[in-house]
Amino acid sequence: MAPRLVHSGSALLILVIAGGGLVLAGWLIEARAAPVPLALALGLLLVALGCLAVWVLQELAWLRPLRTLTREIQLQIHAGPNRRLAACGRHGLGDLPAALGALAERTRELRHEQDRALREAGARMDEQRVRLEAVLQSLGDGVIGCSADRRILLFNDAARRILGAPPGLGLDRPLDRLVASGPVRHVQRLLDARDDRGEASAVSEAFLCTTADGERLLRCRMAPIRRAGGAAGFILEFVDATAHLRAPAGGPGEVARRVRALRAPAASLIAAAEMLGDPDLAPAHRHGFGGVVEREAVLFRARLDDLDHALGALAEAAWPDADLLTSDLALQAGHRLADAEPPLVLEAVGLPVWLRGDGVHLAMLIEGLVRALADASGVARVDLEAVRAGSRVQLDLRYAGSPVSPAVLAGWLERDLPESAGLQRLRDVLERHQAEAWSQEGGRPEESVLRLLLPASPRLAAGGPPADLPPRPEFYDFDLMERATATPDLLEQPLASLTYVVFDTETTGLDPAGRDEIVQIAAVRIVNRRLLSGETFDRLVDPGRPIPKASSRFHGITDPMVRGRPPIEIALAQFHAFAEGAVLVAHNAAFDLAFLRKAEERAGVRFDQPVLDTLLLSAILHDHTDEHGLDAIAARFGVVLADRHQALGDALGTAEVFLRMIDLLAGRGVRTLGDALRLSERAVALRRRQADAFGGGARRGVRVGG
Amino acid sequence: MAKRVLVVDDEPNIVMSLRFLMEREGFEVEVAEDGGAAVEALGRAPADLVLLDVMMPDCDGFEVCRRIRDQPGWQGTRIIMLTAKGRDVEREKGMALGADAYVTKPFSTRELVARVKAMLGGA
Repeated sequence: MAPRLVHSGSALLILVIAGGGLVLAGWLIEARAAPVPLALALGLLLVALGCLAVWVLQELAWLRPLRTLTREIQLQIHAGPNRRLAACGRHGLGDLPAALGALAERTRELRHEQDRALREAGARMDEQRVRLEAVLQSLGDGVIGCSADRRILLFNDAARRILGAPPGLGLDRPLDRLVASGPVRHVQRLLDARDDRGEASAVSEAFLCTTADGERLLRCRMAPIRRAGGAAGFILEFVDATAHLRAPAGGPGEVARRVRALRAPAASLIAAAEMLGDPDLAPAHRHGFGGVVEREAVLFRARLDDLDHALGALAEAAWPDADLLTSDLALQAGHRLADAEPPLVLEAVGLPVWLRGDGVHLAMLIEGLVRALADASGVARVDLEAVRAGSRVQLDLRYAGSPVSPAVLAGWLERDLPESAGLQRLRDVLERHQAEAWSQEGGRPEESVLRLLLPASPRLAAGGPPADLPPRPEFYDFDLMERATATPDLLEQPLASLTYVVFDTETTGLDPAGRDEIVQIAAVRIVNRRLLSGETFDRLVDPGRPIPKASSRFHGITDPMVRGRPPIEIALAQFHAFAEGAVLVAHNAAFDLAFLRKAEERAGVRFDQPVLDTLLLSAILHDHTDEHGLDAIAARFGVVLADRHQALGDALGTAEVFLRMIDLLAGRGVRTLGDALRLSERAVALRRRQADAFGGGARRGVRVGG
Repeated sequence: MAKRVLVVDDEPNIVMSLRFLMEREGFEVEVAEDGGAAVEALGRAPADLVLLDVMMPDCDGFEVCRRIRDQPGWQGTRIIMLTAKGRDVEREKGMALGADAYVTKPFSTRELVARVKAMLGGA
């Protein structure tokens, strides 16, 4: 504690007092004053000498060693790790220098350890980098790593070789100079969209594109590099497919062999036919040759089918195919059409369907067809609607106007694709997918469709999750209806003209009043009776608690999937913005709303728009049955539900069901929103009375089938 | 009165066989060499059945099929499409545009005759 008291200020004070004492004592002795003043002078002199002694002691014992220590410590901070703390000679600082010395020694050791660890880590990284480079360089496939804005971060020798050693290949140079940017951007957007949906399957995507100069055809695979908050870039892996894909029909021996096999029966047929042409042929011979022709004809037909299959298999093997959602195709083509002059609108309506094909080319085919439609008839907006028909997907481009004649369509199909990605004409894309296109009446007045028949993805065939979890309890809640702040004007609006947001949630469990929380929230918009499946909302939400295994089995959402996803406060605020100005629709709406209400305050939003419940509407429309689960209602309306128990799939299914209900309600004289809400209230009251009568008595908790 | 069959194909060899086959069954046969001629022929005198090849220059079989189905007076005309393309998608396209049946070339003449007779309920 002594060094703290001894400040330079106090040292100065001691010096002043000592000095002043000496001067005063000197003056008194000089003045030969009386003995009393003399004693006083001597006393002062003693005090002054005492002060001086204290100062000298302080200086030698504390201040000087402290300065030495300070200097040493400062040196230590800036010096290399091998410097040791120098001793500070004689001192009165007790154990302080020794303790500081020990501290310095420990620090020195730590620095040594740290340096060693850093050197080792560096060496390991170097080793890994060398190994990675060796692997990368030894690959026959070209590899280019890119940032999200498609600047090159790394590449290998194969990439240089395949691209023909272009001068534009270098670090931080744009990829777009080397590879046609349209297909690359398309696949980037596709992978981003899948990531936004939280699809775990979005690992990589195969596609075709050309080099920027159009000289070479590349078969590529893109894998995104992810970091929190989106894609940081991607790795593009590619091979040169020029020779393989541009050769007519692939040309491998398999096809040639089958063509040869076809010639044999053809030759027999032709010979027999020529013999039969001889008017002098004897009846016995005529009969014989007739038999030859019949037998050879059977053989001919079988071998022709064989060849057809071989060609189909060849096309399949040579071209990259992937599972694609029709709504993604609409999005891709729509992006480019929006840039047309004047802009064209392509919108996905109805439930999206999985198909199998080459997304880049299919998007271009759709773009090309919409442009042709616009050129020919001035159509400015086209809806893309798809349904699955057996092993095919029927993809309709729906527009106002009359059907396009096959001859005109055939002309359009001869047009070149908007951008080169391997294939030349629109027709080539159809042939590559073994697809057909035609135009017919659209089933609604003044509407026609351009219909494409494309291969479906086997993906849908995979069954939904096991339905061994109890169905959601049916919820009743009067507040649901009372809280809505619908203006009289809104209540008078016809149901068919309103904007709806149809939503669904997946949760950790069935108890919103308890600890259960939302893990996924998804929604889709209906505008003017058109289900806009391109305008969807889909968020995984971190519930802040573990998801029970039984629930994960039900909806397929697991803890790792929601880790790092936004909490409900954020997702709910986003959903609120998405749903703004729309009437909310859900199946068993009170259940989902109970979860929304729970988080409203934290999210700083309030859902006060009117809510319609397809369960209640079904109870009114189909009062002959108690089956009002989503599956049962969908079956009654002939709606095929895909991706059941995934929030977006269920929201889309609910939306399809709701659209059909609007027509049915109109038939019963329920035309306005007000009508529908009043009827819903009656249904709630009725179902509550029934529940009470069955001894339920509770505000909620009666189970419904389905 | 004999039922009328219109054969529409641009390959004379197959037309010869088809004409022979249909006449042997007692049908009255008319031949058109392309789609335009087929529509004209139907305009002059309606047919009960059209044997319609798909692959023809200018106005193909699908176009003829659609034009026939667009005409309110020709709804009773049955259409059998004949084609060298054997894939399901073309069959579906043909049926979507209003064909009653779709037969892939090469076909068995016996089966074709049987189908025609079934559609026209005998001669």
